[in-house]
Amino acid sequence: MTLRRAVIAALLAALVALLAGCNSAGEKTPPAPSASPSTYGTTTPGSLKPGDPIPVPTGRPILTLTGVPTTNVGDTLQFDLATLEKFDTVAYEVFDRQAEGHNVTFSGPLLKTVLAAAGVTDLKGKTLHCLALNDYSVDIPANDAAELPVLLATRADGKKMSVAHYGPTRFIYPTEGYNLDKTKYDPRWIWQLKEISVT
Amino acid sequence: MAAAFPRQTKVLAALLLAVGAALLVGTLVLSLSMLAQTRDLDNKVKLTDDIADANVRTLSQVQRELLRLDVLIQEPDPHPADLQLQGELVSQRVQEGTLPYQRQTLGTEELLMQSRALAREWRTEGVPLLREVRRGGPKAGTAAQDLHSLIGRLEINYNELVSKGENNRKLRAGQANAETKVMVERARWLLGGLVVTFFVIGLYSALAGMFYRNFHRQRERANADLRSLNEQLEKHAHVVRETDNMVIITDAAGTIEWVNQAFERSTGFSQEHAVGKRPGSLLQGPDTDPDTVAIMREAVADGEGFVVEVLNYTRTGQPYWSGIETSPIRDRDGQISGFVSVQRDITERRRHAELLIAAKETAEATARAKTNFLASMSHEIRTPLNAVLGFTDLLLLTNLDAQQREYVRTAHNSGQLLRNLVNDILDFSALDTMKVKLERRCFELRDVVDETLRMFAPEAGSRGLALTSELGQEVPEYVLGDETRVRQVLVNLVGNAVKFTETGGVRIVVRGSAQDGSMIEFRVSDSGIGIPADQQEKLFQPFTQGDASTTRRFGGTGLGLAICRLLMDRMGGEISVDSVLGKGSTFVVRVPLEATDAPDGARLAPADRPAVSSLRVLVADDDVVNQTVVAQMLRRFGIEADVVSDGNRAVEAATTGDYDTVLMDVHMPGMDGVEATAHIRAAMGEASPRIIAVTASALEGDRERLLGNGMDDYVSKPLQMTALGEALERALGQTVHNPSLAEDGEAVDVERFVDQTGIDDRAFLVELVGQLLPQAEALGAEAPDYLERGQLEELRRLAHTVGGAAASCAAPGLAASAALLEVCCAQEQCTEQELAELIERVAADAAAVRRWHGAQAANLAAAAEPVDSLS
Repeated sequence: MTLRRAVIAALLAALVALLAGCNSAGEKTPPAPSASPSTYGTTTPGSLKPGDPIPVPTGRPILTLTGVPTTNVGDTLQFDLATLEKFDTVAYEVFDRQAEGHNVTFSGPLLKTVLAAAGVTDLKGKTLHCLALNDYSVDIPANDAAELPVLLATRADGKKMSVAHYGPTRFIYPTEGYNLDKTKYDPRWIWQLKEISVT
Repeated sequence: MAAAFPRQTKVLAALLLAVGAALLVGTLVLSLSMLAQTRDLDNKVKLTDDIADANVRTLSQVQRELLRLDVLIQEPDPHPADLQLQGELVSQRVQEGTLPYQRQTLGTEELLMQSRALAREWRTEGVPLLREVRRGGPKAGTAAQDLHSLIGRLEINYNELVSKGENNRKLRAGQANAETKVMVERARWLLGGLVVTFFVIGLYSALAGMFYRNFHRQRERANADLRSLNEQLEKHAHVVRETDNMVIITDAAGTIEWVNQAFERSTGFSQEHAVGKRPGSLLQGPDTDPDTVAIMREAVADGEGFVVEVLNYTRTGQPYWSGIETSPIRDRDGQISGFVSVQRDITERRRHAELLIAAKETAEATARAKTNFLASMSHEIRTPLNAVLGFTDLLLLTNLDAQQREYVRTAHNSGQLLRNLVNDILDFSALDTMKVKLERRCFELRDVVDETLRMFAPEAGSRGLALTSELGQEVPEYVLGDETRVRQVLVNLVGNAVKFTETGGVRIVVRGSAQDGSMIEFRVSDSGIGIPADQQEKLFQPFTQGDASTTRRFGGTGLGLAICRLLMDRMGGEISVDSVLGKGSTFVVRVPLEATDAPDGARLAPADRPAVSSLRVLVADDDVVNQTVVAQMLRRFGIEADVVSDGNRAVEAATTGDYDTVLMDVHMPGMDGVEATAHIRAAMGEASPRIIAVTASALEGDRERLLGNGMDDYVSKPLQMTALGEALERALGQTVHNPSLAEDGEAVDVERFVDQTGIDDRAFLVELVGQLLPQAEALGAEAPDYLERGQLEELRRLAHTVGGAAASCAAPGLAASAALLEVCCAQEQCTEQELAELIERVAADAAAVRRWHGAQAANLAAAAEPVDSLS
């Protein structure tokens, strides 16, 4: 009897040790997004809804969209700050590692909302060619706007953003609740944004 | 349990355990290394993360924006808004260069500090100067100049930072690569180890699984064995508990350890009462046989089992017979650990057995008495029957008319049948009671066969049956055995065959056994009525024939084949029958007869027989062929015999010539052999020659009848050289004729006495003869007086008494002469002369018996043995 028990114990121990080795060597899988993009952050309803006509900017135009169905100046769609801030505004805190170097609560319309207002509802397969004041440019899959609560931030901690503070608009990706790959997503945090060309 | 497994298994288990432990340790070490490796890897990932985080571009961008601002302020009239935007762009970049993550970009804290110092310089000096320039006015020119030089300084410093940061980054990347390479190498080793470990573990698992399965199977088998053993034990225990036989288990010393319920029930002693005691002290009582007790005690002391029957007693003192079977129980070492004893109440069985033995003894005694009675009855019958036959024979020779002759012949034939029957019964009873002694003498097989066939030649010839024989090449000419008995069997078989065959024939085939030649096979085949299969075996039982109706149709006693079988049993042979109804039967006799050389003088040459050749012989035979044959045979013995052809001439020649021996044919026209003999005896008295009867009948009864009729000896027809030679030799020893009917040696036939009475006691016979003698001698002495006085009735009664007594004593001569005298007296047809002659013969026979008695008595006295066995 003892013989049999010993054999079984030895087998079990070997198996446990083996599994432990495997586990410690194995990679951890990234956790799934814990919050839905549409309910992320605090939303303040605005007066301008997607589908409404976008007024011609009365103030200084700070963002120009090209290659979109809805236009207001020529074949472009231009926004001044006031118009942008008429959309539903979303605010959430991020660790702004790349720019301010500390936690900042950004607010502004969701990129999705702005694109919808521009008549771009089918985001799949589309690319946003983004251009900054400092000539930085980056291509972002439009689908990011559908999958993530990407902000077209107009204010940081409630204040309008100067160019020195990465304004007047910039893209913000969530840092809490999403474990986004830095290498892939860091370049998409474009600031001093002035133009988006949708293709 | 573990002891139940073979050593091999144990070694294998130990091996598996060791391998298992080694694997465990190996896996542990491997796992720990894996953990360490993972940790290292994690660190490396952080390092490379840092490298990935590094952003040298930002610092270059500072240079770019600074240079663009420099260009802008060099312009003659820069637009203030452009100046502000460019300034903000510079500020943004400069600020970006101070962020904590730039430590990764620059590689050291010191460089980050430098970057922050430059940023401070921009904020404290550059921004106010730019504000001046934008504002314009008189100081704008100087401010632009100062800003230009500041920008130049900052640009150079940023350029230096970028270079140093880039160098650091390269250094770290190279280091990380090198370390990664080492780690990859280690990881490769670890992976290899892991693969090997997995492989070994797989192997080990398979091995362990196999071992476990084996082990499990072995255990299952052991369990099954144990279970079946248990069941068997339970079964046995149940039997022992529930059997009606008493079971006692004792220790080695014989003290009771356990008894079953049957013991308690049968003896009345309870388990508690019995345990610790010896069975003997509980069960034995006053009538228990002490010898049996001693046997049991010795067996127990010797450690042996025993089987006995002993009288035991129950607790209440009730005796019962117990059959005890005790056997020792041995442990593994062969030491006796106790005894198990099974006892059965055999009181009933013993009672039955005793009754049976008593019944058997009674039955056997009855059977013996019956056999003895039958034998003596038959003998009693035979003596007067011989007289009847003798006188009917004589009567046939007188002048009778046809009717009378027919009556007498019928009476004679019936008498003959009766005599055969009586002889058979005597023969059978003698064989049945094992009183027949077999001779072992040399004889010629062909003679026996030919003789047998010749005997039946007349009957077969008259019915047109062919009698043939065939002797195989391998059959020895001469064999050792009992010729008479072999002939008897053949005569019986051939007689039956002839009797039951209407057409065709009877054939005897003799074969020798191929192996040693000592087994001779006789096949007697006929083409007769055959025997149904269901009756074939019954044939050999006494008083049985194929069908009861055959007895009526063919006659016979039904004893013939039974006698044959008894004879074969005695001779160590066998007899069987193979028959198809309506087609015929074959009787097969296999009898061991040892081959032997021809006896001396078997091929008789005259020179061999000087003594015999000196005999003067007269041959009396009516048949010319026979005369020639006999004369020729005698010539081969060196004897030139005289030949006469009828009774009268025989008497004349015998009385006138000087012959030692007469070969007298019994059946002759006119005066037959018996009558001629009587005449010769009457004329010559003691001087008469030895008369040898020659007769065609070979049956034993004839011999006695002839001897009873005054013949000295007899030979059967057809004559055999051997038989003739023997008869002549007997005559040679008897050339001085003894007037008595039998020789001294034959005056009392001891064998016959044993046959007929079953009493094998010579002394008793001598005593018996002693009692007979006075009567017989008185008859011989007083008969002439009775004759003179004409008191024939008295004489007859006296003769009857003596004859009967003589027959009882197996004194054939005296019995015969007395019987003849009795018959003569009764018939009142004998002449006085004949009566006187008979009286003389009685006296002579009585004298012969007296001589025999004297010799025997003397022998007995000399041997000083009160009781002597006849055999």
